[in-house]
Amino acid sequence: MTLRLARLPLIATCALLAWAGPASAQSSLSDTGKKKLPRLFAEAVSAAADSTVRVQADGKDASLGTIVSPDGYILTKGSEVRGAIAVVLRDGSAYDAEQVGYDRTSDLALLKIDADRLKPVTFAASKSAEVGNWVAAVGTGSEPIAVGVISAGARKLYGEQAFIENGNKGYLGINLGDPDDQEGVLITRVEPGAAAAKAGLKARDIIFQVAGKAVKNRDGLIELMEKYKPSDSVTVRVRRGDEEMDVLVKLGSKSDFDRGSFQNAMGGALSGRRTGFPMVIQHDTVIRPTDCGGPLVDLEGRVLGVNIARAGRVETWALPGDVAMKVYKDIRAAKSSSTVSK
Amino acid sequence: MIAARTLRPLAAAALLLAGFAAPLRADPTKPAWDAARTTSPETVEELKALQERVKQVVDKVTPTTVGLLVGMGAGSGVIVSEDGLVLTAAHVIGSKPGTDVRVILPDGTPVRGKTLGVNPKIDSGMLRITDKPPKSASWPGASEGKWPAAEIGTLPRFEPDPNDTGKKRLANVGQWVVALGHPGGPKRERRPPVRVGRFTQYNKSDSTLRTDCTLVGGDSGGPLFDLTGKVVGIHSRIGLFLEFNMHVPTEAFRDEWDKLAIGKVIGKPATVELGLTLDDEAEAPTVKAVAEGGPAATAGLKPGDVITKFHGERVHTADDLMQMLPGFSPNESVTIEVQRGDEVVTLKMKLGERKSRKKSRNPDE
Repeated sequence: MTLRLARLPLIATCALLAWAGPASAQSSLSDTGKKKLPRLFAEAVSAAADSTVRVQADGKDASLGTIVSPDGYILTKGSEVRGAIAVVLRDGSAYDAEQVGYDRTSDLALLKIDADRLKPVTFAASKSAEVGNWVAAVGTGSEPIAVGVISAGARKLYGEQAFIENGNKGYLGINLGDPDDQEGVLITRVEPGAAAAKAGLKARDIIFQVAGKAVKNRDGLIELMEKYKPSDSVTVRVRRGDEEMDVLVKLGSKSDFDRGSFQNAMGGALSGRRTGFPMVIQHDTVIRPTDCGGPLVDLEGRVLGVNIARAGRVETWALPGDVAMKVYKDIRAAKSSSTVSK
Repeated sequence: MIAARTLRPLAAAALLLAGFAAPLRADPTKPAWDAARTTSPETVEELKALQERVKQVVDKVTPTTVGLLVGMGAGSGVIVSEDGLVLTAAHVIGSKPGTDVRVILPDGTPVRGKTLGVNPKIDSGMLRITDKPPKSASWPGASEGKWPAAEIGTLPRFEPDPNDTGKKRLANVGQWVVALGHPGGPKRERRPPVRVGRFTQYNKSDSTLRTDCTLVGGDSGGPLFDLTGKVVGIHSRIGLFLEFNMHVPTEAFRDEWDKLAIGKVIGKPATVELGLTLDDEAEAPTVKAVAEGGPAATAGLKPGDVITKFHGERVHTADDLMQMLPGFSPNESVTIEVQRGDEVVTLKMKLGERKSRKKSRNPDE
């Protein structure tokens, strides 16, 4: 089945027909071969697996973590870790963890557990991540979680990919502008059939409150909307001409309206925070969002970086090791300079 | 006397140039990965051999992989001739030959192109780069105006079925392949990302290849390569599961190459009327008569005119001309070049609408 093109003004629609359903086959490969490959990576991952931990938030698996110091400092994917944090080492021992810092751009949180003589990773230079090299997403097992190849070497993100947002959040379906003469956010366009349209919001409405909180500008609105999920209902207060009114909006899902989002969602869950990183190494291993935060290694066992997002159907992203190391050092430096006495 | 320090970068540069022009060559001391192999690596050594082969292929073929911006849409393509012919998917370029395309080279440089023919049913399409290589281009042949071109190969290999004499069966499911393209559209400072996978199925009912190289919107029209670096498929569609990625086999292009190259929209009936009849004794499209008051008459075509170009594309036979018509819509203006005696005359024609009893079905786009 061909998907109709959704023509959204700001984003180029991406050509690829989506087709759901099997067709008759002449002969097929049931084992794609990639399933047998992880055992060949046992040696490549063994050292890094000792530096990998499971991070739990409020008792549930939230992410993986990468040990960066012998005395218990661990990097993980901060946006996935909310609530009471626990860390489980490879040997099964469990620790309560404290979050000592969070770097929003990299989405790395630095955790601290009360342990020592841990094995930290040594990161390789990002130029080691050569396109076409086999890589493995490391977990706490003797085999990697998944294997694949480097699709694109360490690069800076631009445009939409550079924007920090929660990609899984509830979708309003509006284009934003700035009102001339007042605080708030101008709705410049309402996507037909999406949540805002269904709720009766109109172009030229000015949003100035969401769930009772003041909305001063676009950044403010985006920040407020971050925490809502698809299907959540939220009251939006708007000014329409001389009138003010409350509009209850039941949020939808971007993938219902944006073809690119829809296709990216085909084949598995994506990380909520999957854009806006300082640099990324792109690879085609397939991991779950809860397996981000662990190391990425090559066949030589070099630790190329920390997996930071399942970013799309074709891509998982890792923060290059030097980026992760810098964030760790900066957070630690900030913490020690702000510590009065211990 | 050149200092030793200066010599090293020169030597390195020489090696790089030699490497580019040379065919794929493996380190003779290490076992090479057989491009035709259909099984998985069994040892770390074999994994490394496959890795080395993949990297050689990627180096060789990346220059031929392009991004395409057509109207509001983004897709991918692959250059297959030195004069700039590009293979892509029909749904990337649409059924309007002569449409402007921005072709994005791997380093992000945009050049111009125009769409040619498509076969919407199988999703094949062709376009031509109309610019010359940029001055900064450094690939072999760039200074002579040549584009880097991928060689075309065939992926599905059939052999006699031992269980069923007279029948053929697919012999190379499991063969390793590499997919390039521009998922999400061309991105700044991102060379076309590489995915590695295997040929998993040949779907006879719609003649597509299936691989487990993951694809997504923006990859359409991009190339699937075998491990000798030949393009064997063009990305077309995906299914719900990560393993469902479908490509148009290059044989499908080969079979209809000439038609695609002259801008034919294959499988679509013409909806336009020219208001002329051609001389069916002549090989070249020669006007026999023009209908009074019709499009050809209004444009100034006369009996005896030999039509040489239709909207910029050379037409050699009546068939060539007829095959171009499905790409056009009623009321469109086209330029027609004719040979009239010794003169070459260029005329402008507003196409009429064909009145037919049958309702023609427009393909989905």
